[in-house]
Amino acid sequence: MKTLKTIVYCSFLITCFACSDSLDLEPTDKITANDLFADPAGTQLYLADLYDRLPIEDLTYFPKEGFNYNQGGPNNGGFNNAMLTSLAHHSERNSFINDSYLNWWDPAFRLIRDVNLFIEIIPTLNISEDQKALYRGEAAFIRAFTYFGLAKRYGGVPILLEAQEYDGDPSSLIVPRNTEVQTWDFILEESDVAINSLGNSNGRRASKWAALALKSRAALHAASIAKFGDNVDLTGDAVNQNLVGIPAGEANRYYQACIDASAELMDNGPYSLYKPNPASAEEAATNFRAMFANPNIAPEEAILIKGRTIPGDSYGNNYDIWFNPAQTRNGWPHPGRFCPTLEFVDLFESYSNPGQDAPIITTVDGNVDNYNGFDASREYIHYSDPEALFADKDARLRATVILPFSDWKGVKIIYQAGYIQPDGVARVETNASIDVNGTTYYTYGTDNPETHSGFNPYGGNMTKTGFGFKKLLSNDPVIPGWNRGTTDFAEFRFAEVLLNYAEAVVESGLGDAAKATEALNATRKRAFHQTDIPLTVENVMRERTVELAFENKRIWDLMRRRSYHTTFNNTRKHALFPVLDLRGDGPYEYIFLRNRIRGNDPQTFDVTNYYRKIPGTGLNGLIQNP
Amino acid sequence: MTIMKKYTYLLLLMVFAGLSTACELDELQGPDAELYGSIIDEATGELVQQDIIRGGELELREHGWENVSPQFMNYKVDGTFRDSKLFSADYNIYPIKTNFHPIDTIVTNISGSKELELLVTPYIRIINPSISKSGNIITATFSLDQTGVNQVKKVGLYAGADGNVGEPMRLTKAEQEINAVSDPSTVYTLSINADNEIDLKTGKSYFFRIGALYDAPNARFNYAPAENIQL
Repeated sequence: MKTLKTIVYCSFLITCFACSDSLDLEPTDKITANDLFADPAGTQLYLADLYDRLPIEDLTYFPKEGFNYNQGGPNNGGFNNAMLTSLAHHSERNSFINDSYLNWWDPAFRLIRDVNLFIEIIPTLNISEDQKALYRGEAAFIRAFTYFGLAKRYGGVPILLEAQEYDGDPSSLIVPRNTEVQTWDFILEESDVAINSLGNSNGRRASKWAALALKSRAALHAASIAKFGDNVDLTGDAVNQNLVGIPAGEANRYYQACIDASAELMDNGPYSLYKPNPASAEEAATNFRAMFANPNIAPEEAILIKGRTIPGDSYGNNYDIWFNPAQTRNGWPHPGRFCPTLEFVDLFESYSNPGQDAPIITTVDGNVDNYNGFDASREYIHYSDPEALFADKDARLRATVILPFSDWKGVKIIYQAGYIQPDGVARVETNASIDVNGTTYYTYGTDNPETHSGFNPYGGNMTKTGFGFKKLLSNDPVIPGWNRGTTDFAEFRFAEVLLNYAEAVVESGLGDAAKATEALNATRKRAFHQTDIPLTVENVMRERTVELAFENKRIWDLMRRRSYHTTFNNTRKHALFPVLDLRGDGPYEYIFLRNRIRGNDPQTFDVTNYYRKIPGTGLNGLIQNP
Repeated sequence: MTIMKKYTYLLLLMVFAGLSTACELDELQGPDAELYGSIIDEATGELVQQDIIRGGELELREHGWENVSPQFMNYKVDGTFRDSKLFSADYNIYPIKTNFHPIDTIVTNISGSKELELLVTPYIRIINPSISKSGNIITATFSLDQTGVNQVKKVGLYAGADGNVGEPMRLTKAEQEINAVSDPSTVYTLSINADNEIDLKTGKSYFFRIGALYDAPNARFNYAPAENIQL
C-alpha cells in the first residue's frame, strides 16, 4: 500500500515538471516565413515557385491534366491542346472537348493565396524601396496572369486581394463571383501596376514588356468575347448576373486597351522579329524552326521564356518522346502521337497566290472537297519527288510539320499510305506487298515498322494524316525516358503582339490601319513572302493560326471569338494520303489522296463548353456556369 | 489445445458481434421517385418531336437546399421523358432550350411515380411532310406553320443511322437558309443524293427527318417524325 502511495506521489511530481520550454522546437525540416524572407535569396526562391505555377501553357501543359504535367510517368498519350482544334489529330484517340478538359481551379486559388501573402510581406522586408516596387510589380504580373488563366476558363471569378484568414467560421471564407467585366478589368489594372513598376528583365522574369504583352493578349481576349458574345445563346443564373459574358458595348474599350498596350511595346520596347528578312524560303524555314528548338537564340523576339534546364521528374517535358516520328524514336516505344491535319496544311498560303488559303490540289479536276478515297476515273497529278507538292507553300509549313518523304534529323521520313496495283485496285491503309517487274513494293513504303512512320496502325506510333509534328521538337536525339526533354518555351513572342495589334485594329476600326497592315505583313516577310496582303479579318486570322500554330494559342482563338461551335458542327478532320501509283510502266510516281482520317468521328462543340464548370458549388456557394 | 480452441471461438464471436452491429442503415431516403411525361402540342394534341443530344432539357431544382445545383433531364426524340432516380421532394421544373414558346415554371411535388404533361405551342409545325426516294435521291417536301412573329432561320433534311437522327446527330444533311417569316402555303423541297455521300451506302436503310429552326434565343429545332428508307 505504501509503495502504491509513493508511486502516485512520484507520478504527480513528475507531471508538475514535465512541461519544458526546451521542447518547443522549431521544425528542422521547414523554414519559417521570417527566415525565408530575411534572406534575399529566400525571397527569390519563393518568387521562382510562384513563376513555376503560372498558367503558362508550355510543353508540359495538357488540356486534361493541366500545367506542369511532368511528374513520374506522365502517361497521357501526349493528347495536347492542338488535337482539340482542327490543327491536329491524335494517332490513337478521337477525344473532343468536354467538361473534363481545360480546368484549372484549385491550383489557381492556391497560387492567388500565395501571391497575396507575398504582397502583404513585401512592405515588411528589409530591402530598398526600389526593390520593393519591383517585387510589387512582379507580384502584380503574377496575379494578373493567374486571373487571366481563370477568366478565360470560367468568366467572372471571385477577386481576392488578400490572403484569407480562417477564424473557425467557414462561411466567412466564401466570396461571391465578380462579373466577367470586373474580372477582365482587374486583370488589365494589375497589368498596369506591373507595367508601371517594372523595367527590362532577362526574359525569364516579368518585365514591363512581358506585362504589356500580357495586357495586349488579355484585352484582345475580352474584346473578342464582347464583340462575338451574341453568336451564342447561353442561359442561366450566371448569364443573368453577368458572371459570364461581356456587353457588346465594351468591345471597343478592350480593343483600344489592346491597341495601346501593343503599340507601346512595338514603338518603345527593345523587341523585334528574329531574322526578319531571310534571303530565301529555305533560310526562312530554318530560322523559324530554330527559334522553337531553342527560343534562347532569339532574345529579340522572346519576351518571356519558361525554361526547362534540368531533365527529370518535375523538370523536363515529353514532347520529344510523344511526337517524334517512329523512325527517329531512338528506342522510345510510343512515338508519333501528333498528326497535323490536312485542314491545317491547306491553310498555309502559297508564294504564287498570296492572301489566300492554298488547299493541296491532287487531281487535274482540282476538286478539293472530295474525300472519298481513290477513284480510278479521276486523273491524279503524279510526283516523282513528293516534296514538290509543297514547294510553293509558305516556308513555315516545312518548319512546323514534317512533310511526307522529307528529311528530319538526317532520316528520310516515310509517310506512305498505300499503292495502286498495276490492275488499278487501290491498297490503302492495309499491310500488303506486291511484286512488280521484279521489285517488291510495300503499302507503307517499307517492309517493317522500324523504317517507316506513317499509316501503319502498329503501336499507334504512326501518323494517320500524312504529316508529323516538328515545330517544338529538339534537334538532339530522343532520350527514351519520361521527362527528359529540356526545350524551353517562349510564352510571349513579339510576333504575337504584332498580330494582336493587327486583329484589334481590323476588328474595331480603331488605331492605325497602316501600322496594322505593316504588322500583319512583318511575320509574313519573315517567312519570305514578297507581296503584302491587305488587312482583313480572314488574313489576320490565317496568319495568326499559321504563325502561332502548336503554341497552345489556337484553342483560345476559337473560344474567345466564339467560333468553336461553328468550326466544329458534326465536323471531321482530314488527311493527305501519299500513294505510290504502280499502274503502267515505271518509273513509278506518287499520287496523293485527300481522305478522311481513320477513326475520326464527327465532332461537335457544345456552346456550354465556352465556359468551364466551377467545382464544388454546393460548398463554395458560387453560381455555376451555363 | 482446448484453451486455444476456446480463444479462437471467442475471437470469432467478437469479430462476428462487431461486424453485425457496426453497420447501420442511414436515415436518408434513396432516390425512390420517378418523373415521366410528354411534351404535347396544345393545338393538335400530338407529341412535340425533340433531339436526344444538344436539344431541349428540363431543369429541375429540388427545394430545401441552399446553393442547389439544378439537374437537367433530356427528352427522347418522340417528345417523351422519364427519370426514375429522383429524390422525393418539391421541385421547380422549367423547360430550357425549347422548341416551343416559354411556359411558366412548374412547382410540384414528386413522389412515387409522377406524370407531367407539358402543354405547349411549338415554334414551328411541319405540315404535310413527305419523304420519297427516286433512284438514290431522297426528296423531302413540306410546309411550315409558324406560331410566332420571328423569322425562320433554316430548314433541313437530316440523314442518320438510327431513329435519333436530327441536326446534332446526322451522317449528312441538306439545309436551306430561310431567314424570313414563312408562308404556310410555300412548299419547301430538299433532297440528298446518296450517290454523292460516302456515309450513305446502297442496300442499307437510313432514317431521314425534316427539321426547321425558329429564330429565338436558345431555340432548338422542330421536327417531323423520322422515316426509315432503304437505299
